[in-house]
Amino acid sequence: MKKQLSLVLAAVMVAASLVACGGSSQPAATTAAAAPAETQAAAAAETQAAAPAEAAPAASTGKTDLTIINTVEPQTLLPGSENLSAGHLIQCQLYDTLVMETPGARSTLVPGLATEWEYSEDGCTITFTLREGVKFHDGTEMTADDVVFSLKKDAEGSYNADAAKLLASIEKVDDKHIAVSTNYAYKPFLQVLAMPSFGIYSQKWYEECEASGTNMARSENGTGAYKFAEWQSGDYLKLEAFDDYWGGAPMIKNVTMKIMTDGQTAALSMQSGEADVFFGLDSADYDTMKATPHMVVWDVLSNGTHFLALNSTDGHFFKDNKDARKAVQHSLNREEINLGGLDGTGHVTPYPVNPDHFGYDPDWQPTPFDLDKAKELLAGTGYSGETVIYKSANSSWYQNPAQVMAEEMRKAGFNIDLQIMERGAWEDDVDAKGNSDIWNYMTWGQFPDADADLYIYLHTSQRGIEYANMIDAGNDECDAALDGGRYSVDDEERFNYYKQVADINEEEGWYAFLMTGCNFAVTTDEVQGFVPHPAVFYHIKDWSL
Amino acid sequence: MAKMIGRRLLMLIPVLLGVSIIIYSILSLTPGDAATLILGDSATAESVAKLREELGLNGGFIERYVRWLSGVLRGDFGISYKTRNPVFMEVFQRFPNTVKLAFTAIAISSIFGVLFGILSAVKQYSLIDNVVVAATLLLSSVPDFWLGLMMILLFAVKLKWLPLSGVDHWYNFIMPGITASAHYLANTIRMTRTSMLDVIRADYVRTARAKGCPERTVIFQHALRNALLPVVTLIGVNMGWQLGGTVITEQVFAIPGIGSLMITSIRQKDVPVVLGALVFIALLSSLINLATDVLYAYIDPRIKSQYVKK
Repeated sequence: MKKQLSLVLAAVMVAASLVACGGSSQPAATTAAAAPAETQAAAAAETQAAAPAEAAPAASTGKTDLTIINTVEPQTLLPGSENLSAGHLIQCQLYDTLVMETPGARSTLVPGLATEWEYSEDGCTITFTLREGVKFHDGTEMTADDVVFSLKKDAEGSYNADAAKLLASIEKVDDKHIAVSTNYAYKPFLQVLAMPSFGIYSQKWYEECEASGTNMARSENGTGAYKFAEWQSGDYLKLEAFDDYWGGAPMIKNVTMKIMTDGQTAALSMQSGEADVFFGLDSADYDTMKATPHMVVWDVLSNGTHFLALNSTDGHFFKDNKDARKAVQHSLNREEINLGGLDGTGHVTPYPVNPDHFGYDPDWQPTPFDLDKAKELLAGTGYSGETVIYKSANSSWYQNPAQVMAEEMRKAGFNIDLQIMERGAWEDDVDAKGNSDIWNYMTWGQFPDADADLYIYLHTSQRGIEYANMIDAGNDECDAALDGGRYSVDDEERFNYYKQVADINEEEGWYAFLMTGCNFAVTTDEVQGFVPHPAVFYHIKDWSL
Repeated sequence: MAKMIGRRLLMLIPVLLGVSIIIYSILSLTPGDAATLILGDSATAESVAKLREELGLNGGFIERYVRWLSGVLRGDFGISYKTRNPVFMEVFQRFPNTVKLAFTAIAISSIFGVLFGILSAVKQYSLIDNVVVAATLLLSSVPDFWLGLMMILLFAVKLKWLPLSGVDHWYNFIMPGITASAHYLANTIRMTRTSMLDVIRADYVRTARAKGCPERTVIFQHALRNALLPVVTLIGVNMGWQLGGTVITEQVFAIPGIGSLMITSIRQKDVPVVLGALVFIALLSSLINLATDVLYAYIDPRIKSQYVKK
């Protein structure tokens, strides 16, 4: 009796699991769903704009409410201090910038709150003509004083700390013009001002908040197409269309960003039809989501490039050991690292500049994978099996590639001691103190330019644990090329300087650049106008349902 | 009774102080810096130092703890490092969701637990008893997150009968309530069954039957009242646990409650929020324990008599 009962119960449990987990009876994938991901995957070196054109446009549903799921909660609404992409996404809706990126072509900038701009002869000052009749969300009109005030405040924010070093002055010229001066002519400076961290808001609002002690992280008065409505911590954040928007009222009237920190639940929520857009899809759920009817999965190239850092500072293994660094380079099979570390979802990009940024060279060739050469080089250094410490943070983003790379280096003969550490502990020990012979991390260029990608990691002025160049990378020749790229305003010249930097790094073996990961975005096939953006600077005003 | 309640309330002071010291020490000794975590990789050393100063992270361990404690004594639990909202507001914004989830789970586990426990004991060794015993085994072995995900797949994704997330309607709490109650339901059934089996064999129950009392009266008035004492203890303990935040259930169903608040705050090293939430939970658990003890007195006159002045 008991045996029979147990069997029946077991059968019920298995049946329930199968019903719940069973594959869909619907067709595997719609054409619209398949096209963007495949197109994107094949186009590592191309811009993100290519994909949406492939997606079959669906008829408008007439819906005006949009729900977005994000696995990360924003920290603040105030421009200048937010470092999370979830926050930048919201800031893009609430605030406008003087100039704006073109969806799909980041380096093409179009007028925002400035209708036109003019460079001074020395290229150090840009005079912006401000758009007339722009209103803040409280109904007051934007003035040149507001623009000057908010840009100055933005520059004080922690996220803009590097950009602030460029700024010499921000001045009001007259009621319709402002002038922004930099310490030297910096070619990508307009790109800096297009970041949501340089959003414009009302001076009066800011001063009133300061006087009353209002939490500016949770209120706003910008000029964006949407205004802030409500924020329930850990639950959702709501925005409403701003009908007096200078660019015309957006088609989507209400936007809700739901916070779901569990990626699996977020994916299921998207599948259940509770949302229209989802940021933060895990690569493990990629195939399931792609096979779900009416879902479009976008491979959005990450803004950063994975790299391996070989520490050449005092007391570390690679100090004065160029051949050992070269041996590491020869031991790395980037295709395998991508396959084992990122489930094959990344794009192998050995060039130090992100494929989406200015300065990327798709034809550049890295040191080839050659295990015999690696072994030969290592043997030539007199290496006798000393332990090489490799510390990695425990997120799958870093830990999985680290495990593959450690194994590859072991095959070349290195005695690698791979230590997987909790993220906070890793940041304390490695990111803040450089306490490891090897680690892997990611470049994180704030704006799409080679200077943002490379300078902090390779220039000798950035050496030391308080900076990003913690491995003593760089030399005079490399500095000259980096400075050349930074101070030149000629695109071709700049491109060549960064190519030189890539060659010098490869020759010296300080860093091995590996691949660019993908931040997947999912939309339903009802969402129109979605163009993948590596930094999540989306403008919902350009979308419709 | 009042004296006992007063003494127990006074004991709360060292308990809460101890909890805060332990939590503060753990959070201070574990690696990770709140300012670095908030500002991210793009931050410069100067901006990290500036934020550390703003957050008051530069003082020594004891200095920071004393500053926090003196604030608490004035009713100020501090400001969240992450949201810049008062900690009190952060905790109380989320507390109603945890309460709703906890009460749903406790209601399910108590009502069905006691009901099936009685049924199982009264019909010992019958088919019903076997099914109930097997079901308790199943319920206590299934992990919360698995049960939750399976229910989501079935009822939210496939059948679309229930919403996956949200906290605005009572039906939002059906699936989370069942998930959070599964283990407690199994324990309550087992406890009620065992306790009832002990009681229904007792002499006074046999006497009641011999006097000709109807079976329903025997079970519900004579047996159950005496069998309920350990069950009440269990429900009290369960209530404390549930109000402390069912972290996994809240994560799986995206419920913005105390559990999910603590998880995100621990990850962010948002010390004031973690401390505030934990002290609040400790206070709540202690009060629930006290309420359970008071309830004993009403259920069992023998216990009540211990508190009566002689």
